[in-house]
Amino acid sequence: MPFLVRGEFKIEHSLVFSLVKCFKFGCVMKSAPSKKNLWNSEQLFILNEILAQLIPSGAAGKIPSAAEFGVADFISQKVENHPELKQLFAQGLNYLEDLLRQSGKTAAELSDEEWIAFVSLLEQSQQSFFEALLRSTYEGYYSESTIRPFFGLSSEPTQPEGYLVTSDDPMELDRMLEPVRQRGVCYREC
Amino acid sequence: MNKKSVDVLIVGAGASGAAVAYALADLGLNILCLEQGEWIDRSNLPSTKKDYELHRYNKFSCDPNVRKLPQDYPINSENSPITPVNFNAVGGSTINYLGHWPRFHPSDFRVKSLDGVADDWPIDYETLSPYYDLNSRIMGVSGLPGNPSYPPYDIPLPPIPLGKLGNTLAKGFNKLDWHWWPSDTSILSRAYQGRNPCVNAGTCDLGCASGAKASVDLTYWPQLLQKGVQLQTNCRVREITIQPNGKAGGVIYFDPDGQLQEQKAELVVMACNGVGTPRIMLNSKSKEFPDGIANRSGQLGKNLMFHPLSGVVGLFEEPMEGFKGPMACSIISQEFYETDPSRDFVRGYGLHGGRFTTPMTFALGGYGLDNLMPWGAEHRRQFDEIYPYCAGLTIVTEDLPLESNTVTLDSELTDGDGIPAPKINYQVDENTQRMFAHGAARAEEVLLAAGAKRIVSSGGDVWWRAGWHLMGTARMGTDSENSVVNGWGQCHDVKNLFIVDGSIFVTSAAVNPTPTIQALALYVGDSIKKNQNLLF
Ligand SMILES: Cc1cc2nc3c(=O)[nH]c(=O)nc-3n(C[C@H](O)[C@H](O)[C@H](O)COP(=O)(O)OP(=O)(O)OC[C@H]3O[C@@H](n4cnc5c(N)ncnc54)[C@H](O)[C@@H]3O)c2cc1C
Ligand code: SF4
Repeated sequence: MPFLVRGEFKIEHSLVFSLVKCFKFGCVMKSAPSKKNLWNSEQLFILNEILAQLIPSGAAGKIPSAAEFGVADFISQKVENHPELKQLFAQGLNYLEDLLRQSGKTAAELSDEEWIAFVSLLEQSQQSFFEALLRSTYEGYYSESTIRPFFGLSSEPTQPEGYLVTSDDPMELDRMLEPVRQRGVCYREC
Repeated sequence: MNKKSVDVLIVGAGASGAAVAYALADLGLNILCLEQGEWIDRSNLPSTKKDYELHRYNKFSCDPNVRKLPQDYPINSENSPITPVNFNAVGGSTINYLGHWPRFHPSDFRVKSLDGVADDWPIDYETLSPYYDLNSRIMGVSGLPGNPSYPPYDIPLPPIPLGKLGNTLAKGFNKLDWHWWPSDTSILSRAYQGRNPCVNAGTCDLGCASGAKASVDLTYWPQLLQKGVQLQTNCRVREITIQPNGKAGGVIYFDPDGQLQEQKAELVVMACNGVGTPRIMLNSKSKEFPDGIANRSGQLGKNLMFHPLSGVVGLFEEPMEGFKGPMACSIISQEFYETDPSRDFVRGYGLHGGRFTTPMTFALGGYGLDNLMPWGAEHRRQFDEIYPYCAGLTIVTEDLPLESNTVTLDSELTDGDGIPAPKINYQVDENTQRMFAHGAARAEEVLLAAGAKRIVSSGGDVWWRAGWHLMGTARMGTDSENSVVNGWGQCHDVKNLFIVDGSIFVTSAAVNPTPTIQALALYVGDSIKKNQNLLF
């Protein structure tokens, strides 16, 4: 599990994540909200399950899901810095807790398919929350530098190294442009 | 508090403010520039940070309504499908612009005579040509001379590499026998005047830490300071004052401590861009000018033009490496640039082959857009099977001037100093919509000819966060009844008040505006020098 270092959004790898894991894997853990996180451990567990559905893992598990990157911590931080999001997230998480209650199961008992159905319901009935959640998930996930090499990018900042792009051979460029030159001037004289 | 009067007061230290200062700097005049932003810290730009993409959606967004920094002013664009974007600092919007550097065509200055629309400019390509050249040398422009869609001109540096993506698209154009050419860029392909060449970082909007992209804090300002031009940062101008004799007296501004100050000047030059300039001029109300200074024509704030943009994306067999290289620049096609009477629109558009984008921006809908991509299995598929293989073309249309497309003052919204915010009322013209339809179909043809397996995104909506080019809101003209400034940037109604930014464009052409904005600013500066007897 890579620790989170996010430039100006630097967050300590909080207690939260271990709490979440603990909850998920069944240790008895009464809600013990981290001082770094807005939500109690059950809410965090739910949020992480949702995150895992928003961006699932790929390449046979090599590309981590959004839950595995601690995106929940990122989102919590963001919500804390944007008071207008607090209410929205509180409502959204309540809605999810209600859904869970209605399902008659515990969070740990739900299958992937059931979580996907939850996300679809959320998307339809809590549009503002869902959009804010999805946006924040993409922001949190793709600002994790170790994800970039999976798509060919460097995990390093783009400056100062940048990327190597070979200069075009002037002769070859000339050859490619020959048909364009052949057609002659294509602006209006005036 | 009154300060010592200066000879020339320039408002705004961006692309045009710097260029006009350069033209005036050798006269021994006392020149002061007031800028609401500050110098940017090049050692701390987002492109040097691991989470660089995040800054695009935060304090380094091109959208002032997202950045919300103290030096920014909000913009009400509820009544527009496009929102204006900018940067407020020494260097202005050249800090986060993308360095694509095409000139206007000669015909762009003659649209009324040639095509019967809008108005002709009071100046022509030939007049501006030496100023384009001078500006190219100061900014450091790369490109390949000999583009048959222009009269011949020199370019100081060889072109930047086309990259895999540009090379692929070029083949498509060649197959169709359509025009294309390597882009002119204000990005260095070689070291130049103490600046480093481009390292193909691909995040030009996040500030170029290597200094390869010509922002005027790097190109013009060091020279200007050496020549004795004074620059005061964190100073926000509220209004231009008018004297009983009908001349501008100077400006009233908020100093860095938020205190109101008055600065007197013999000559005032506005360089706040196509939204910032009409805003401050509309806010400069007096008995003589109840509707804003120099606005007897009623044209101030009207005819706002943007260049509405849209894009088409194709899916290729091989990875296109679209994140490498300058974001907006690789190749340009002007096959459909000039008017062709057989089409159902007048004027034309360019097809610009920039690069693709970085992962977060892809997930959030693309640069200039706000359309979250799908979640779940489809998200995974789009990233694994589509993202690396994409190449696209941007359709850059000529926006014609409409009086109903306006910048006015918002009655409620203000900046941190209480100055009314600009409000945008804008609709995409029908002519432009027809261009989009034509352009999207042509772009698909090129992509398929270049080897795309299929089209994954075809035109569609005009890009929202892409009001990069701000033009037309204080237009030039020979007739003081229907224009704000004359052929050399002087306000018809106030002889010692000049405008040098994109506000004075008569029409927008279908190319990025900054080479023309700066050539015009140099030309206006030179004209002031030559016509000193006409200033007062
Ligand atoms: C994301 C992005 C990409 C772009 N890409 C390209 C491109 O590839 N090619 C191209 O040609 N153009 C591009 N542009 C446009 C280009 O940046 C502008 O055309 C150019 O910077 C305009 O120059 P200007 O001097 O008119 O205004 P600006 O450069 O915007 O400068 C105006 C200055 O005035 C200051 N100011 C405003 N109001 C006040 C006030 N009341 N008091 C004091 N100071 C004030 C501002 O802080 C700012 O520094 C892009 C722009 C953006 C935002
Ligand atoms: S691609 Fe080139 S110009 Fe753009 S930021 Fe990187 S180094 Fe600068």
